[in-house]
Amino acid sequence: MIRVFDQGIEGAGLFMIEFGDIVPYFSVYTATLFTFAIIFTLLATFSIPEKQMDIIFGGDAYYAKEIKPQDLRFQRFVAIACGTATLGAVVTGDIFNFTLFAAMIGITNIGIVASSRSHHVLNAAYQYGIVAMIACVPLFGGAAMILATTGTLSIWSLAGIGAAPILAKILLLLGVMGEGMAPFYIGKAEITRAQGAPFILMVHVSSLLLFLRVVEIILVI
Amino acid sequence: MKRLHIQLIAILSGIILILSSIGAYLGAISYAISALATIIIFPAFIISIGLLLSAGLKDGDIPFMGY
Amino acid sequence: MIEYLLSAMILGLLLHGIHRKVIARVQGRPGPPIWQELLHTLKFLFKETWIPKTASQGLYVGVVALALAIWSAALILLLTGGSLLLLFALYLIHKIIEHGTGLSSGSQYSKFGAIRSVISAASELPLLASVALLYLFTGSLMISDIEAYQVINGPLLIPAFPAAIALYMVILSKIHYGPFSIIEAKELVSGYWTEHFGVWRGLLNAAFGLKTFVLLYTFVMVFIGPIGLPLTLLAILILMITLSFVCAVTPMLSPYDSVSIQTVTTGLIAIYIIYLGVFA
Repeated sequence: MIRVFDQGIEGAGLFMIEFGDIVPYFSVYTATLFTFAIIFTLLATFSIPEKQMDIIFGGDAYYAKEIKPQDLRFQRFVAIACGTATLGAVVTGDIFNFTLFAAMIGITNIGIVASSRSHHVLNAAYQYGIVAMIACVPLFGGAAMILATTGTLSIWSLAGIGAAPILAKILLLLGVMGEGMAPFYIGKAEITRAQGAPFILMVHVSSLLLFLRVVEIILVI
Repeated sequence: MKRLHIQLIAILSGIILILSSIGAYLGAISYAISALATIIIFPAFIISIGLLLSAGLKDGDIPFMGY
Repeated sequence: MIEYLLSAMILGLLLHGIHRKVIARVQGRPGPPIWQELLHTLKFLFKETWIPKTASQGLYVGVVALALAIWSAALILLLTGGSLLLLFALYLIHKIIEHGTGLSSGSQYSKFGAIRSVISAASELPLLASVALLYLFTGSLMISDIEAYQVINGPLLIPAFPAAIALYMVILSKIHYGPFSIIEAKELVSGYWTEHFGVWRGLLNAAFGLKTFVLLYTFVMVFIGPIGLPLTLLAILILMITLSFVCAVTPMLSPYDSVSIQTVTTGLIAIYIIYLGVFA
């Protein structure tokens, strides 16, 4: 099979979908990321959340917290939205679309964290929100810099010519890291207090897949 | 799930796995499709085998209730 | 295909057994027989199995299937000479699986393991540094290209020695009883997989056997090159024994020390990469 963009980075190209000038492409690499995004979105859609075990201090007693379905409706919705944004981000063939999807992943991540009622978790969501907002500046700044130097944001036109400035790539990476990767995820240690394992997991899935995609974009352009 | 269903899954997935492997050797199906089928079906195969092994055929012992 | 997967799984479990044996001998104990981990896995498959009432059922079973799927995908990727970047991706997804395993049951112990798994995300960074360095040397991330490069230019182990150290650290951080295995430390019972019992435990064990084999095989393939099956297996065995020696003589680090050592390693390699990229 033919390697996508003639580069030995992500394996064979499988197929692409042409939406006008927006051309998402599936290489072996992006298709794998896409598959995992689908699997985890389905898990978030259909699995019931776990019941956390709570220990009563001063004794041997413990009980399982009950969760009402209506408490989880919003969290599930945001988790699915996050999964959908991830699906877009991992296959899009356009850097502007990628940054938009990345920002949307940041927003939905805040949503997943903020739908908990615990005071600690809400605090964490607030801090997380601030970091994600700040990270939008380098994210869009990187894309703007690429547009200003090359005149295009299509990965198809940029691939392999090495025209994108290194600073723009660094900004893009910083932006994506701020949207959810270490070491900016102040909120993540706290969100694990929140219940709803399949939804909380979506925060990590989206940020890891986003990171993997941005590494690919940086290597390709 | 019923034991019969698990048995069915185990046998079916096992047959598909072996066929895809043989097919790839003989060149009847492409290596990529064989690999994809293997990756998808292998977990189902091995989980169903595990569940079959763990499902006891007879009832468990009556627990010791004290004299 | 299936024959490769099953043999790699059995070999991986044997490697785990050898690992335990070597650790025991270094520490002056007789140790279990080397097929112990194999028996262990089989034993778990015969145990009574259900899904805990408190667990998130889909996730609880899903992570087991995914663990098996990603490492079989990784093995097939290696055999077909696919992209090293994709292997990196699969390795990162393994992190999500560790996390999901811990969170899915609702138990405090496994949740602690899952949180430690998030903070030890630093262990992924050396792998990224290693991949980046290899890209600088060979100009391609396809394993087939890297192998072809080594056939012409000799093993990458010597010129890309820092990358080899990074990958070695990565393997060390994933191995049982190692200095970095904070996510399954004994103060958390078994860490993130405490609540996976019976068949689930056995299958996770099998998947981790496959993982050990795949990681060691990657090391041999990427840094020593194509040397034929018997020599490759020998190299894997030697690599495993060196890892066991490291595990036997180092205590388990505290979570903060573990993360800082991994981050410092990555930092040093990043400096080396920048040096290579700018000056060489």
